[in-house]
Amino acid sequence: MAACRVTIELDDPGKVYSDGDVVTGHVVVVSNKDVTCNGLIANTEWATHGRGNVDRGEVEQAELFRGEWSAGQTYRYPFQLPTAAWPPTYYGSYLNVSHLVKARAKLSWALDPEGKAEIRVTASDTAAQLEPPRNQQTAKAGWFLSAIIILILVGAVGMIVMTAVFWLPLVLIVLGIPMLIVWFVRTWLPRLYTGKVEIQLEPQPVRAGETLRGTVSFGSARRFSINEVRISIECIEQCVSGSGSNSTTHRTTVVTHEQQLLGQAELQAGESQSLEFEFAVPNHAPPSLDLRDNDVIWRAELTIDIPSWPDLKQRLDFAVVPSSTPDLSDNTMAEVMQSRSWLDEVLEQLSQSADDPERLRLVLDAIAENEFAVNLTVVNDYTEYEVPDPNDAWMEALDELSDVDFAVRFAAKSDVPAEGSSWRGTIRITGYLTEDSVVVAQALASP
Amino acid sequence: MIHSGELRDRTPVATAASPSPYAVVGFWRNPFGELTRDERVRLAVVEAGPLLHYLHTTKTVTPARVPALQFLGDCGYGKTTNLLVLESLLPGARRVYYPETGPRPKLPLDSPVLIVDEAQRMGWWRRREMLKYHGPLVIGTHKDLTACLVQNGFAVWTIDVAQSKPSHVVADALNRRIAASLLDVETLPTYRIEDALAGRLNERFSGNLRRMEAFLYDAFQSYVSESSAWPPVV
Repeated sequence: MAACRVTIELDDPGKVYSDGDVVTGHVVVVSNKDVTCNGLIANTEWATHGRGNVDRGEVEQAELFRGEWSAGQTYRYPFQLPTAAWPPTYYGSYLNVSHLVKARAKLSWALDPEGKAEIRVTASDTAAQLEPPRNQQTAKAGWFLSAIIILILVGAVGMIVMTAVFWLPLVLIVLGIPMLIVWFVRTWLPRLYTGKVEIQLEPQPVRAGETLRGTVSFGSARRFSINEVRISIECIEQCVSGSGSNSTTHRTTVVTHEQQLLGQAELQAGESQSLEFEFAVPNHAPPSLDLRDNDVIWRAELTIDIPSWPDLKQRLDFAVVPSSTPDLSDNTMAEVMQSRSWLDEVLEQLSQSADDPERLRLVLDAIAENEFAVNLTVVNDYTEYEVPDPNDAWMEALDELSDVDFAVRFAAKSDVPAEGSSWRGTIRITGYLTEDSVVVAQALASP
Repeated sequence: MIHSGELRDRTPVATAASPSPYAVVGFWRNPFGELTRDERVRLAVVEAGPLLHYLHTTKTVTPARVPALQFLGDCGYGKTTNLLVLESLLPGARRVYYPETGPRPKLPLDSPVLIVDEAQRMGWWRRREMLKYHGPLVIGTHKDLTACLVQNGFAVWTIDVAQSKPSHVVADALNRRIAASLLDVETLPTYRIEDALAGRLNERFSGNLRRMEAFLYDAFQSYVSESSAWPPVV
């Protein structure tokens, strides 16, 4: 049996912290033996976890106690510690950022027992705005160091150049020619037709919950036809594990949005095109993160599909900052998570009953009186589904946790939320569109 | 403007204000993600006793020979983990990692035990330095260096890390990760990976722990975000 057990009790476990708010609570120590504690240390920190190397930052630590603990006793030590303002709490697929309050009792001749509690941190600014002032000072004071580094670099480059003179022809052949071919095919050839292509995005950075507006402009150096012009917006988690040559980069796309800007068309020489597009950044969209080995990257990629000719592809990264109004109140989210497993079970049953009308009816009858707390992403493009009355107040939405589509009926059209936004509330499941695998539901309440 | 967008957001749970999706199933993280170096050492399943004994006693048994431990095998079988564990257990020992490219680090020839990771990448000059070292040597390598070590007066014990590990060892390694990621370690029996499953994983991934962990990471992520079965079917 361990000498003692350390746990953390937060005063407000559901609180969402921001701007370095102070977290308060108690470290509770239950002592099983008479032990000497060489320091009960509490600290706040953030750390990444997932496929990439762990990036972490300690915020502050405090020693709460030092002395003797008697067997069978329970001790409570209050603490108040600031939280980090950046990065915000994030749960993705390959990357997660957690903020923790930790406590550790340093014991002699025994493993140090530890306790930890996770807190939620949101941010309403960008990483740059939240950068601690001391980092800016370091940058200003570093001119002397920079000068030395530049001198060393110049020397090193000189040495490399001398060595490279001998190897230069080989380097050009091995590296230069394939790169030249790639540039020729991917950039030079398509631009023979399109001329200079520009993508503009506004605002930069864009806040989650806002709309990103973009313009694509290009001319036509000569008459040509195109199959389509499309823009795809992606959010990618990029994590590096290992180091040096043993490092592996893991990437996964967590948000994808594709939009056709122009269909088949014939463009005349000298004609210029200016195509606009919009993307409603979901309120809960992952924020852009640039940690040491863990990044969240938002990217727009333009494709101009030219028949029988290499396509033009052009990329532009942009930044998403967290929403200023986090979309979930504590209680609602807790409610969502509590009813989650029951909802998952119901969705599984519905899916399995798709080919068996009798069983489907049984399932629907069984849950007719049940209410489910949900958090849905509004898609509002249900024209392809046969909902009972498309002219009624319907919302099509995606439940991200299960990847199941919902058609939710509202009392009035004005209640239907905007496309791209998140809708949290309570629903009652009333039907299931078997061909399209869409759950039909009635909205009961939203907070 | 033609607008025919399709949005598919695969983020498991809303950011910022949402509670941890892992907490819903009793965890604080996915157990099969990357670990910090300290944690990697703490959770490693390495029977260090015989290794330490070998390093400490060889010189006494065969005075003419200096002990060298060679961990041999490809990436992902645990060479570096073994070296990290030994580094933590041998006072004053220093581990040097040789990258594939870039500057070659200097060997800390003054340390009581020399630990070299990716020794097959050493240049001839550094290798010569290492072979002249007179203290116990521990190396991780993809290429068998026994011949040159023996030639230079080392008594070599080679541990082939790619050799099949018993199922219970694999299960233990994976269960330690699970235990370290649980909110309440008392719930471990619910999530424990049994020896039989570890055996199947061992077979499927030819004993490569890194590949097993990558597979289990994705399976656990599906379990959390899509309510897939846990443990996964192998």
